Amino acid sequence: MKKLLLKQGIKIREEDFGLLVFNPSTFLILQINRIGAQILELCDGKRSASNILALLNADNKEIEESIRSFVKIAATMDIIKEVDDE
Amino acid sequence: MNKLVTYLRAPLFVWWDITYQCNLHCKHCYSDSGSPAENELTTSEVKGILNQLAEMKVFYIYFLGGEPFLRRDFLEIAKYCQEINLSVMVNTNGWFIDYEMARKIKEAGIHHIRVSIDGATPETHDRIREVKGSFQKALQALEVLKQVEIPVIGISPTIMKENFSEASSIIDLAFQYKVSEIQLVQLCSTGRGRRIESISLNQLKQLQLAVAKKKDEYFGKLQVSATPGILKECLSCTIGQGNKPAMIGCLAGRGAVNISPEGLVMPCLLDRKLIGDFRRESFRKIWEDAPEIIKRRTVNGVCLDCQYQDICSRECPLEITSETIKKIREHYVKK
Repeated sequence: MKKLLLKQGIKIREEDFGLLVFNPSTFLILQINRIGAQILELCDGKRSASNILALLNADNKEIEESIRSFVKIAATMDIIKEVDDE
Repeated sequence: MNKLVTYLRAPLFVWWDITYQCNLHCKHCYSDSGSPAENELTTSEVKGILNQLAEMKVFYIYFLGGEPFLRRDFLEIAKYCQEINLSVMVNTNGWFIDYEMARKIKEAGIHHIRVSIDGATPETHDRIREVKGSFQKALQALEVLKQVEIPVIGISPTIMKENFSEASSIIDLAFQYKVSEIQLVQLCSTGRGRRIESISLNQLKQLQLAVAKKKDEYFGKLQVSATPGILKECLSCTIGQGNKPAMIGCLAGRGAVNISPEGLVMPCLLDRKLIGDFRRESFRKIWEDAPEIIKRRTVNGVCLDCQYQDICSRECPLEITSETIKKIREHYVKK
């Protein structure tokens, strides 16, 4: 299964509400809350989206949907990428 | 009791008019550029400011002017930004960008360049910019920037009465030249822009429709955007909390500031209120303590009843008082 990896060169800044993530390739900025920050931390190239869901105990449909949607947005904004299992 | 909206530890970016020197004489120039100011910041002063901004983790610097490439040390400044991990975006009229310069721009690590093009034809553009041949030079700049593969190349037309009817064609031109993005810019009523007629309310509505249509037409091929005076767009997204974003509203003095060639700090390109001076105080102090900035972060009045009071810094304070906006409000209220 494909693993998720934070792309190289992405700049991250901590704020009271969570994180600000800047992609210098596109100049787009993403605001994320604390759950988003946890997800990004887990995008280390060793875990898939399902692994991350399990680690965050996403047993609630709403949270699961929220996480999936975040992963999709981060991928669209070129902040994370899918890599092959090593 | 007054509360504060979401506080950012630093601006997301700064608009930096790096010089007032310019070879063109655009009718709408918000900074009234032409000759450089006598006391523009020196290279070492610029680097000192950049160090402060990098330390506070500002993401990028958007250099404007004047024409930034007329500063002899501009590439050195851009290179320095790269060294201290600040991304660079530049707005230029393109006049000085030949292949050799484009190569140097690439080497200096400038990642995003916007070339100002104010007409779909040489006649319109050169008339607005008051120099014959400037349209051709701008197009040539786009070509060589593409040749050296600058990652993000854009076009930025300022929309006014004189070129309003060409707005769609300028977007088509951007597509034809295969640039990554185009941002339509509202006329700033400062500098020489004060003397220019802005578009009417009806024209603004037509423009919004035209931009929306072009956004659809070029979806996935060309990023079409506009400044908030033309289109209100959500700049960010987030997760959880019912998808409530962390901050909305005017960025001036809250998510960004403007720096002048002399190191003066203002909330934005349009709002020229002085909030600090790099030659007298540190940026951290300006950002934390300047009364005008604190005022913009403070919730009061009718906003205290709003569910978004903690995240919203309200509309552009200039728009609130502008006649056009008053008319727009009246129009929508009647509907």
